[in-house]
Amino acid sequence: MELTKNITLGVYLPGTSIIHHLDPRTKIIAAMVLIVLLLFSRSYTTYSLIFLFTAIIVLFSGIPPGYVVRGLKPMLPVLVIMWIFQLFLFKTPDTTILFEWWILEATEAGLHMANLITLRVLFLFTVTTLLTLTTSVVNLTDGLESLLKPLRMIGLPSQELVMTLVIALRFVLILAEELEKIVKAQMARGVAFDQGNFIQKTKKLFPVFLPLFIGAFKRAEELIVAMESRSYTGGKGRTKMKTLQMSRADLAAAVVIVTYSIILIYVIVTVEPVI
Amino acid sequence: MPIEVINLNHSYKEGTPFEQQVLFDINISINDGEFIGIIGPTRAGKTTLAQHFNALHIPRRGKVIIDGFDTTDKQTDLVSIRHQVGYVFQNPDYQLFAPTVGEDIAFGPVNQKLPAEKIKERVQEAMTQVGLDYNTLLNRDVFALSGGQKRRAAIAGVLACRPKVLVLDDVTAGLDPRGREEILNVIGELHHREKITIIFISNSMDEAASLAERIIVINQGKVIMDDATRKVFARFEELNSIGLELPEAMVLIEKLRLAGFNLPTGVLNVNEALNSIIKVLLEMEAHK
Repeated sequence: MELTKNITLGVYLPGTSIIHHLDPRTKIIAAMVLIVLLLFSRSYTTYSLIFLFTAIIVLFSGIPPGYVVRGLKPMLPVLVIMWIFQLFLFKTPDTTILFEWWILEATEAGLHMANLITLRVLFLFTVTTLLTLTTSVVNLTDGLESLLKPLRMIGLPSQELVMTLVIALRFVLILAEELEKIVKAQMARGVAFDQGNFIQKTKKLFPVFLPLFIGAFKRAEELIVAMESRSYTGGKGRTKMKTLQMSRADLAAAVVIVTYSIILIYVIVTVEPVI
Repeated sequence: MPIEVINLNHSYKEGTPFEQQVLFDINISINDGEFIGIIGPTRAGKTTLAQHFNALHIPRRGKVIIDGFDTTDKQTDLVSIRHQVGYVFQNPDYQLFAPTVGEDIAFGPVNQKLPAEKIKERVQEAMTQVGLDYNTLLNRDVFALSGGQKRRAAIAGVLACRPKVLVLDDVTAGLDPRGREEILNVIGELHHREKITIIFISNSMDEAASLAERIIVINQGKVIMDDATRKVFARFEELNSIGLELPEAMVLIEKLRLAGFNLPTGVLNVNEALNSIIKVLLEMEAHK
C-alpha cells in the first residue's frame, strides 16, 4: 500500500547535474517555449524531435529515466479514455473510415487526432515534471516571481500568485500521503478497495474523500495561522535572502533552446501535418 | 491467532531514487494471549512492522504468517485477516470519518455484512468495553468528541470487528494524563478479561514497562532485543544509548541506589518502586 510511490509531479529530486544548476528562470522559460512548440506540433516528425530533445534533457539531468516514465503511469487511464473519445468522435469530411462499432465509427482522421493529443499531453506532463524534478521549491518560487515582476505594474499580485501555486504543488504530495493513511484505516476495518466492479469500487471512495477534504481544510487553516504568525502580509516589501544570478551555463542553455526551437519551427512549417 | 514474521525486509518507494529500506531481516513470533510492547526511537520502523501484522503491508522480501495463512499468498483472505487483527492508528482523525460515533463504530461490522440487530449489539458492546456511554454518545457528532473520547471511539470501531489480536499504534500520544490513564485501563481490561493478544507500540517507556509482559526493541529497522519486560529493562545502558528513556520509577530507584540505599534493581513501575522504598524505610526504622 503505497500511493506516493508513483507521484512525480511537484516532487524535487536533489541532484548536482548541469540542469539542476541552471537558473530557475532559464528552466521556466525553456519549459514554456517547449510547451508552446508542443501546441503547434501536428506531425509525427515533430514529435520524434520533441521526444529526442526531452530524452537528452533527462539524460543530462541525471534523473533515472524509469522514474520519469513511472510518473506517467497514474495518467494512463485518463489518456486511454481520451484516446478512445478522439478516435470515435473526431471527424473530417474527406477521411476514410477504419472500422465501425455499434453506432460509432473510427476514422483515419480520428486516429491521428487521438495519437497527437495523447502525445501532446504526455510531453506536456513530462516537461513540467522535469522542471519540478530539477528545481527546488524555493528556486521555483524565486524564478517565477522574478519573471512575473513586470506584471505587478498592471496590478497582478505576482508574489501571492506564485505562493498559491507553490502551496498547491506541495499539497499534491501531502494529500496523497493523507489519502494513503485514510485508505489504510478503512482497509484495516474490512474495506476491499480492489474488489468489485467499477461502480462498486467508485462507491467505496466516498467515505475516503470526506475525511480527506476535512483534513485538507484543517491543514489549510493551520498553514494560514503559521504564515500569519510569521508576519506574512503578501508580496509587498518582501526581500530575498538569495538573489538569482545567471551564469555561463544559462547562456549555453539559451543557445541550445533557441537552436532547437528554430529547427522545430522549421519542421513544423515545412512538414505536412497529419491532420 | 499466532503471528510469525520470517526474514522480513521492507523498503519504501522501492524502485525510485527515493528508495529507503526501513526493515532489515526481522524475525518475530507472537503467540496467543501475549501482551507485547514494541518500543524504539521515532522512525525506527515500528509502525511499518506493525502494519505487516494485519496485511496492510504485504512483504516483498520475507514472509508474515498469520494464523497459518501466508499474506503473500494470493489465496489468503486478507479482509478476514484484517478483521481478526485489529489495528488502531496513531491519529484517530484518519480513522473516524462517519458523521456519528455509532455509524463509525458500525463501519467494520457493516463491512462484515452482519444483520442489523447483530451490528447494533456489537456497537453497544464495543462502546461499553471502551467506556463510552451508549445512550448519550451513540448519535454524537464525531468531531464534537474530546481527544480521549476520539481515541476510545477509534478503539471501539476496531473492537466491533471482534479482533483476536489488537495492534495499538501509540494510542496515548497527545492525551492529557487522565485520558492516558483511561485508555491504558481499557487496554489492560481487554487483555485480562477478553484474552485478546495486544501489540502495544509506544514511545512511552513507562507505559510499556507497566503494561507489557514482553518487549521488542527496534532500532534502525532491526530487532535489537526481544525478551521479557524485566530482562529488557535490565539492559538500561543499551536502551539509553539508542536514545530511549527509562521508566521514571526505574530512574528514581537507580538514583536512590547510587545514593547508597539498598534497593533492588529492575523495578518497572510506580507500584513496585513504592513497595521497595517502603520496605527499605521500614528496615531503617527497625535498625534505629
